[in-house]
This record gives sequence, C-alpha cells and structure tokens, in this order.
Amino acid sequence: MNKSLGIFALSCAILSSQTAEAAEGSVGGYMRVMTRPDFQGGDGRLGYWNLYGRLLNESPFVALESQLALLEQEPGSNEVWTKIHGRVEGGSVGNSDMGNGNLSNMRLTQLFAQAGNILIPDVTWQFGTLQTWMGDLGLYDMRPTTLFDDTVGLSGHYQREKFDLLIGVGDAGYAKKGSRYNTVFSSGANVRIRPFGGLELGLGGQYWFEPEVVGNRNAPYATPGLSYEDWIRGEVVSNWLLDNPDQEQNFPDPNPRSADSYKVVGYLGFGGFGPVVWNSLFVNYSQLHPEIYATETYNGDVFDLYIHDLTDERSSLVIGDEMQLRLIPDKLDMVVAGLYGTHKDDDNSIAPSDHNRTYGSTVVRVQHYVTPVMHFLVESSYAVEKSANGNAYRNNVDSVFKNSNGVADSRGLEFGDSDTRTTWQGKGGIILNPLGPGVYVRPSMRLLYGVQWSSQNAAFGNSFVETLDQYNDFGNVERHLHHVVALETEVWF
Amino acid sequence: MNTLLMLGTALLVGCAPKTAPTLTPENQLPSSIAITQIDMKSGDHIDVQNRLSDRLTQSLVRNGYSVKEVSAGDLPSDFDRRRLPTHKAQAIAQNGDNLVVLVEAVARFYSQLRGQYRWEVSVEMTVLDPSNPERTLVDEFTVPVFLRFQHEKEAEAVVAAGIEIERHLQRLLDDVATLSRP
Repeated sequence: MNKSLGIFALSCAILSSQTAEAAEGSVGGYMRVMTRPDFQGGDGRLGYWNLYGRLLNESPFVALESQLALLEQEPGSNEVWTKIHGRVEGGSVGNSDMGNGNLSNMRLTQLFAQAGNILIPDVTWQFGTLQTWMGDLGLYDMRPTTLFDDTVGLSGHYQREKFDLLIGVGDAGYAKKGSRYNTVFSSGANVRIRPFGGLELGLGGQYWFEPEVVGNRNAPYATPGLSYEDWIRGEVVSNWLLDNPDQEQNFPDPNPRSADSYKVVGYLGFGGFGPVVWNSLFVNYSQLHPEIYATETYNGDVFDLYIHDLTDERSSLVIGDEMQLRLIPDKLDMVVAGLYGTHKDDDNSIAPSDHNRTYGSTVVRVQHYVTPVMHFLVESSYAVEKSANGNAYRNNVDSVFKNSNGVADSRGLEFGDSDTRTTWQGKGGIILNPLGPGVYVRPSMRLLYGVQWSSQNAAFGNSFVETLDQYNDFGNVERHLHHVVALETEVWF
Repeated sequence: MNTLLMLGTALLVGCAPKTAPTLTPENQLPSSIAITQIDMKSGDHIDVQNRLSDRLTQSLVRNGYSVKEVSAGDLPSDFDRRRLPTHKAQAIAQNGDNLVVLVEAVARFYSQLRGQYRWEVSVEMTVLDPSNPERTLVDEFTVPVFLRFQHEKEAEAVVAAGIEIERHLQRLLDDVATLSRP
C-alpha cells in the first residue's frame, strides 16, 4: 500500500514538473490539522460526530490532488482537450492522531481522465472514478447529494448555461464488497436547472444491481431459516445444532439471490436577495444494498451465514439545509444549518442500531470580522438522537450495570439506560484568515474553546471503562460536560 | 480572562503586517486599464465584475495615477487577432501617452474537492509605458481559488483571485516607478 502511494506521489511530482509545452500540471488539496489537549480523558474531539457541527468534532485530514492537462482546454476552441486527476487522501497526520500520519491511513480515492469536444459539443467525458455532488453542508461537512462515490466507470456531463445533465454508468463491486468482490452494476444521473439567477434546482439518482450468480461464493445468498434474533445474539449455529444434534455437516446451504438498491437525491438552492447569500436544501432517500455474510464460530468450526434476507430492508432519509447570511457586509456573517435523518431497518425490530434511529440537529455560526484578517467566531449546536428500538445510550456512570428499565439484563438486546441522547455544544474563539473575510474563506488558523453538554455520560471519544472488570479496576466518574481548547488550521489549496 | 483576551487581541493586531510603501509618482500620471475575462466557451473578452475592476482601479489611484477604464466593448477591433502582450497593450494605447495596464484572466474548472469547487485562474498582466515600449512588463501567473457553490462559475472565480491579481499589479507598478526614475 505504502509502496503504491509512494509511486503515485513520485509520478505526480514528475508529471507536475513537466514543461508547459509537454503538459500543464498542478497540485491542489485540502488539509486540517489540530492539537486539542484534553484534560478530561478524551481523544481531542469535543463530541462524537458531525451532527453537532464539524467544528471541534473532526480529526485531522489531508487530501492531495494532482491534475495533469495533457491537452489544455483553450478558450473558444473546439479542439479536443484532456486531463487526468488523481487524489490521495486520508485521516491521519503525524503527531496529531493515533495513526501518527502513517500512510496506511491514506487511499488513492480518485483517479480519472477527462476529455472534451469529442463526439458531442459541451460534453465532458470522465473515465475512472466518478464521484460527484450538488453542494455541501459546510457546517456539517456532509454532502447528501453525493452520487457515484462507489463507482468506477464512465460519465458524460453536458453543460449549458441554464442546465447541466450528468449520466454515469459503471461498477461498484469493489467499493461495496471489497475482497469479496462481485460485480455490482451501477448507473445514475443528475440534472441541475437554473431557470434564472438566484434559483437552482437539482434532481438525481443512482441504482445498483447485483445479479444472481450460482456458484460464485461472493454473490448474494441467503442462508435459509435465519432468525434475526439468533443472528444478533450469535446463536444461529448453536440453536440449529440444538434442534439438529451432531448435524454440523448438514448445516443449511445458502440459496442464491440477486440484490438491488437505489438512492434518490434532490437539491434546491436560492439566494442573492437581502442578507441571504445562498440557501442550499438537500435531500436524499436511500434503499441500502444488502450485506453479504457474517460468521459464527461453534466448537472451533467457522460457519458462514449469508444474510441477504436479513439486511435488504434498510432505508434512510436525510434532509439538510444551510443558509449563509451577510448581516453586515465585511463585518458580520452568519450561517444557519439544520439536519434531519431517519433510518429504518424493517428486518430488525428488536435491537438498537444505526439503522433504526432518528436524529435532528441545528447549528448556528456567527463570524465577526474585527479586521479583514482577524475574526471572532461563535457557534452553537443542539441535537437530539433517538433510537427506534429501545435503549442505546448510557446516561450515568453506573449504566454499565443497567439495561431495560434501569436494571441489569444480561439477555437484553438494548444498551444502556436511555433511548435518547441530547447534546448541546458551544464554541468560540479567534480566527486568522489571511485571505480576508468569509465564513468559508481559507486558510483559517483558529484558537478555539468548546464546551459540550450531553445527556450521555462521557459522550466523546475516550478510553474510559466499558466492562464490569474494568470498572472494578479503574472506577469512573460522571461527565456530562466536556471542555476542549484547540489550536488548528484548515486550508483548501 | 478579559485582560488576557484584550492583550491577545492587541498583540495580534500589533503584529499584523503593515502595507508596504508604494513608489508613488509625484504627478497624477494618466493611465488606461483594461481588465477582461476570456470566456471559455466563446473565447470572447468580456468585462469582469465590478468588485475586481474597482479593486485594481483603486490600486492604480493609490499609486498616483489617474485612471481611464477601457471596457471589453471598447477594445480595438483587431485586439483579438493580436497574440503578443505588447501588441495587445499597444492596441489599447493607440499612440497615446497613457500608461496601459492590461489584465486578461481565464478561469478553468479544476475539480470538486472536499466540499468546495476548485478553479484555476490564469492571468496575463501587461504594463506598457508608451514612451518606453521596450520596457513593457509582462507577468503570467495562475491562482487557485475555491468557490462555495456550483452556480458560481468563471466570473466568480476571476473575482476570487482579486487579492493575488492586485498584488501582482502592485509589483509591476513598483517596477514601472523604479524604471522611470533617472
């Protein structure tokens, strides 16, 4: 892995240093790196995830993207142009996180060639990875309209002044199944319309189909007679053998299946009036692709359980909105965002999971430009997460002893003593933006303080006790407030 | 806490870099400035948004020039046929004595990158002193810029490169002032 990254980096460096006559190369990217000493035993992040706003809740990240224009696109020309892009990215930087910048944390996530003025005017053809999206919820660092994130193939992007149309097709097998690869046909499209200045509409979707392939161990299968509860408890094999003693060799063979899934996305953008710079509303609805298999070990034997039928009814709806406001030009900006998500798994009505929950959140950021370079930032967020299948959160230090109804239940499928987590975060500090005012202008160098209150005990990445024997050794304390001070920088370049 | 905050603020403000002194001509020398964006689809020269033209015009004024703006529509008819920067600037000078500043920008889309839209703005900046045409100054550079929204296109990308374009203009004006001294 490291070797391939090194070769890629060397290739990029060589390509980027070519003369203008040969090819134009350039490198861009993104980085964020920070130190957040945490005297409360946390890992430096204020809370668990971006639902409370990305600020102080994200870890280091770096992306390097190289572009090589083999035939440069010339203004007003109908001549063919072509360029290649490659991007290496990952979430680790030396001395900043547990990965310590190890290159094994990096991936070559994007590699594609683009070409234009071939066959159809105004169409950009893209071969390779196809990731695309219609905008960004900046305060959450989420892009609900992302399509083709998992697809390698071909897309055509037809661009006119009033509308864009992108159609793509390819294979998502390696992204969805990794080393258990099976072809997952992927196709989709999105269209964006700009009827007049200040309004933009977008609609898109992607569909995946994984055919039934008898004999291919990596194709979709379903082990007959699987009970969801037995699977969750890891008792499929033991219970089957209770009913069928000494019949290990006759454990049921899986039946072939085909699998499909889809995602529909929508976008509404408007702005350019009053203090409203722009408002972006995103929505996506997904029917998730079924999982492949799970394993159980019984008496030293490993059994593969094919779980297509237990994972083929998972869906999610995510709606996000972000409004950017210029309250006092060059003095005071505000961004308001909200996010709602509901995830359903109709196969599972007994155990809490990420596929059975609802959450809602709002984040407000205000940035005051004391000088063009020095700014004050204040941000607040409030979020509620609710499990649809019972308790999922530990509210108290002694929750390790509790389960349903506040009492211990060693056979219970729930976790902790509450089905709801409520979180508030407040953040503030000084920002240095060498390129001037703007909430999203970078580079940004920040000295920030953040505080979180959560109904969950110790609701941040930590190494506190999780089991009874750990509790006996180390004890624990109640922590609903969490404080973090951060020195960090974030740059798009 | 307040004292610490004020102290920190004072230090940050105090440490802020001061604007470099410019080599201002003693007289209000006349200048003509044409700031154009080359449209990728048509190849035509079009006017840039006011935010950029105002920024560069003010830069000239701060350096002691009186400024006449030349819009894309006022460019000479043979302008597009000229290739060399000096020839283009001479077309604007039209045998006059004004210092000519010509800024041509082309914005090309780069990629969607971690939530933002990366563009690259290639700029060719020419400063011609008609009385000293052999000392025409040409500066070519590329500025990476990031736009927040997908409806923002070439025009917004060129404006976003304004700070860097202004700095390059200042360097050329400094060179002009230096070269014009006996």
